[in-house]
Amino acid sequence: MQQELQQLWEDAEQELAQVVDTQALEAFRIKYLGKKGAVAGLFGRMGGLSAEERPAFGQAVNDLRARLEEAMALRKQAVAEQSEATLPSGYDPSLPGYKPWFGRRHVLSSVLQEIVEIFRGMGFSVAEGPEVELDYFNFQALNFPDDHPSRDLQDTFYIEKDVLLRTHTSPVQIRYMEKHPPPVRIVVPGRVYRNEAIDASHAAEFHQVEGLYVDEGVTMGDLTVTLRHFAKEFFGSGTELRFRPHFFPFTEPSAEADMTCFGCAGSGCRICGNTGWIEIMGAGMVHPNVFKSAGYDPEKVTGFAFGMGIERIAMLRHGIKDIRLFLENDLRFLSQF
Amino acid sequence: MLISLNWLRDYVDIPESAEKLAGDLTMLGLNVEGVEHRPNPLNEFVVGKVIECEKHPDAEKLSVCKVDVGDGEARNIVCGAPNVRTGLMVSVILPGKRLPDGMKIKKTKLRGIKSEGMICSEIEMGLGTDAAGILEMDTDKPLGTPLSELYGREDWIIDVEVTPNRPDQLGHIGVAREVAALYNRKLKIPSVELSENQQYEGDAFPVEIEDALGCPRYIARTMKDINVGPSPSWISERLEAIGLRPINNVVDVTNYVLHETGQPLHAFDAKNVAGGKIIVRRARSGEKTQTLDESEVKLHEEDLVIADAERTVAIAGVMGGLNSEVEDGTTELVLESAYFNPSSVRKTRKIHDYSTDASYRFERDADIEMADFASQRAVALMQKTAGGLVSKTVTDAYPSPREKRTLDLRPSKLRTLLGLNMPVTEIIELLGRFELPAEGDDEKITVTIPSFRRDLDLEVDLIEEVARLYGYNELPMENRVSNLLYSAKSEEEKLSEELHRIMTSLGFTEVMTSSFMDPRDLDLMNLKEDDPRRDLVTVSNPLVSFNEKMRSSLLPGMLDVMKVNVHRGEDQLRIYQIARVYLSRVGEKLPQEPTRLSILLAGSRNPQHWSSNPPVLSEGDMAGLAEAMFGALRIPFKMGYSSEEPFLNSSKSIRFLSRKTGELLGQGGPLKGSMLEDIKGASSALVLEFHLESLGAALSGHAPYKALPAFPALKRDLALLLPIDLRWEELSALVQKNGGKWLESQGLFDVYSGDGIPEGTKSYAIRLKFRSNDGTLTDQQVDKQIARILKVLKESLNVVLRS
Repeated sequence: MQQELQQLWEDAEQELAQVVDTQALEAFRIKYLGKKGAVAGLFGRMGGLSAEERPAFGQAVNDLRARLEEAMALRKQAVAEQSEATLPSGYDPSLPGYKPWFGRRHVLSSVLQEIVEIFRGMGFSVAEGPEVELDYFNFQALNFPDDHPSRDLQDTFYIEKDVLLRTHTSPVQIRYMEKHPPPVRIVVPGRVYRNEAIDASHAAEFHQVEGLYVDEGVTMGDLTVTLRHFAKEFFGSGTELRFRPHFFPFTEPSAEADMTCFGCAGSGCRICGNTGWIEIMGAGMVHPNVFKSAGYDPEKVTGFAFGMGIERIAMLRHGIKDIRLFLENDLRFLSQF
Repeated sequence: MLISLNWLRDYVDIPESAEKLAGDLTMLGLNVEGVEHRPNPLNEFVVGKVIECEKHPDAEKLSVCKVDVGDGEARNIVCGAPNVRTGLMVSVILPGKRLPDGMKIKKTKLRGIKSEGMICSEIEMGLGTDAAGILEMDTDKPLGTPLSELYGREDWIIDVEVTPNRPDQLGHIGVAREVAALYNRKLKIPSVELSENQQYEGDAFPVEIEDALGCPRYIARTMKDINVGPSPSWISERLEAIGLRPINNVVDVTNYVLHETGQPLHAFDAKNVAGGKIIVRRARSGEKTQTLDESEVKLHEEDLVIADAERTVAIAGVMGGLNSEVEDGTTELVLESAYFNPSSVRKTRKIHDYSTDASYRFERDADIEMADFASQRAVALMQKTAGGLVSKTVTDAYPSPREKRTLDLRPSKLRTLLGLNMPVTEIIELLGRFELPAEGDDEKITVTIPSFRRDLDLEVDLIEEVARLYGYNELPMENRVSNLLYSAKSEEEKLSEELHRIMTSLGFTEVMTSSFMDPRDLDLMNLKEDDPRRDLVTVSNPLVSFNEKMRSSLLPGMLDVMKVNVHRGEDQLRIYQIARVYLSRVGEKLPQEPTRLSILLAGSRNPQHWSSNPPVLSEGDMAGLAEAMFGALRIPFKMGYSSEEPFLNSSKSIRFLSRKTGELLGQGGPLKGSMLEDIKGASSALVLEFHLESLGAALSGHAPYKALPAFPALKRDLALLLPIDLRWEELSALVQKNGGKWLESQGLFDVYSGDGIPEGTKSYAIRLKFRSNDGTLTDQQVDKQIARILKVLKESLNVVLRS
């Protein structure tokens, strides 16, 4: 009896060594371990044994089954490995592979998106407005008096006397506040225009992101905290901001924000002109006249606003030297980002 | 604006270095754009002593000297000055050094005698104007001492950015006032007192103001017996330091005082003011005048001018006239110090496109009270530089003097805005440092606004003054923004983001093109005369013609991108753009700005690979792309043929329609060859354009869950013979209609035409999949359905099974 079991094991072992695919493995399983297989046949003979013989035989068959299962599992793994390594004939891994088309966002578009997402995380919603805009929204309502030198800060494309191409995204501040009561927390991405001669650092059309937060009791501290958070998220956690007084007709107090130079971390280098700081945006507390234009009561609410140029930010972060590259769309440029 | 640090130090003590000052001014709001160090030019010169001096043997006017510059050598220097003589202490420049004008001194020979350097006159040293002979020095400094230790000074030129609201900073005193506030020091204003023997009893100079709105104040001071000549070096050096060209000792003083006080001045030769009076009026129609720069200006009736009894002598607030300028030989002058209306000056400046230091300041609103001080300061200085006497009688036409203004500041408002609990005493102290006298209590502080601070108009303006002196970066940081506020994404944003995701995952690269277009592209696109896209939004004042017309289609921009890239050797293009177009609207001021998705494909279907040559794109790629895109958006759509876009090959173009709204979603097709004529090396391109608004309306909301099939499907393949002009869409629509409720999907998997099948037919192999949710289908059940499909196909479309 013992010999019979031994013979069975040896046959099986030999047979298993020949198995090279899953099909043969399955045939093997059926032959030895299936419902009508060899092991089952052995158990079937238990009935013909004496009560004394039965336990030892049962034990031996169970052992055999365990060994067979173990050997089969090993073989199965070997077969699987084998089949993975079997690739189409003639494959040469040193040759270039099959590449699918790969698409990507325009660098400005993805920078814009990233900026918007950072502010969205701080509860800002996106608002938009027209690019062909009324003088009223672009200037007058933003406290740019008629015929005032502050208008010279922005060379303007005019369509007709009171219609122009917006010079900044700020008109959306007024449009939005006119339609929504406070509190307001928006960012406004979009294209803006300046009637300027074009060169490596000046474009006639470019993009801005504007921010506006109005509520009861908003302070300048809220402004600096928000923008500091943004700078760290966008440029890296080591980035610091400083605020300098400046002039914008639609904010008071007004500020320009500089960030620590990424080239030298503040010690001074060529990128920052040895100052350690790089100007990145304008900001300030919303001017009471702007609130009045929009129908808000400047005695009840305060707010902050900020605006930044996307091209400038993208150029700073990626070291792009010529602003004209953005609208030229040379794929050799676009595919770098 | 350029500021000389030496000059600035006249008005306030500044022991700080130029760099420190620049940094501090920047943080105060006077942004410093650059600091230029001007070393003392006299560093190059040394004290020398003439130990021997003899006549040059071959040149009458030259002397041959032996000069000691302290190194024990006796250098041979040939000198042409008449006053050179033995024992004289002189200024010497040695070979290898440069004169202030840049000339390098070399060892040379003069009429055969070697010369190792040069003995210098004042003018050669850039020190003064005396060119008559060499500088004779009286000094006990050791020989060889650099002259910079005796004369001249180094300087720093600070370039500050003055914002348009702060005309008071457009002069050295104005900047000094900021510095005084910054460091809490005293501002020193120069005295303008004249002694009795510098004045005379003159007659009042008559001034008639015809336009009081244009000229609220006009001060005329007169001087006689002046002697016009070059300015002394302390004036000319300062003007040169800030980039001005010295002219004479009168004109230079007007410029000096302008850059000191910010008040523009103009001096007339009194003898050339006809009729001995000044009239301020608007220019007459057709009037012309010649300005100081000798250009002839045709005056506009809106221009405010200064005239005498006969003619215009100056364009008010912009520039003086040539006919009355102060020049050599002038002995009497009238000095104008006026205040001109900012918008009047601005208008004139814009009409003539002519900006001067004067117009720049008047436009920004000069200080009406400064006019008198500046006038006094100027005559006091002129008396010093040009001699003569100043008339005691002054004409000051100032019919309605400005009233003193006050402004209230509530400490509570300051505290809210700045988030800073600043005590009243500190607020008052900080304002005081800006020369803003303030008094009050916790309720209200009243601030007297000086005439030079016209920018301070509201409470917040005062709050800014306090904040910037306190330091923006010292303000406490708060964090209210963490208060939750619901920030929703609009449907438009979601759709556009989704489209970006879909297009990039389909292997398209996003491009962004100019909002402007070349109107000639409208003809190239072959648009009909009445096509609304022909009505372009037009800029009236573009600097370059490129910026004149706004795009009504994204296509020209996409073709520009194609051109740029094909010309640079890249002909595989899969690009898209999501952007606005600008469409004029009748009866509306503002155009419509709908957003479009524009797609362009050119080149091959798959990326190039060594294994095989990928097929060239065909219109089938377009339909497939739309299917993928609409599938991802879950927009049910149907295709219509023959788009009406005149730039597309109409027989191969497709219109995409929403099944939900029936609306046109977009169109696409191969471009007509004429569209690509301009792009060398490009033979074809597929373009598609979709309307985001229509896509948004066609969306079908969140996908509803469908139970996964519990029973297996039955597949049937059919080889069909169909008329050659039958479209797949027609065939499949009929199959769908007659497939019964079990027909789950159908697909085309082979197309054949040619040998072996009858003329005028083609063969399609289609695969139908049937499935029931109630149980496993039997062959018989499906056969019945197939038979029905085949029957209808034969009857309505003449499609039969291929035997």
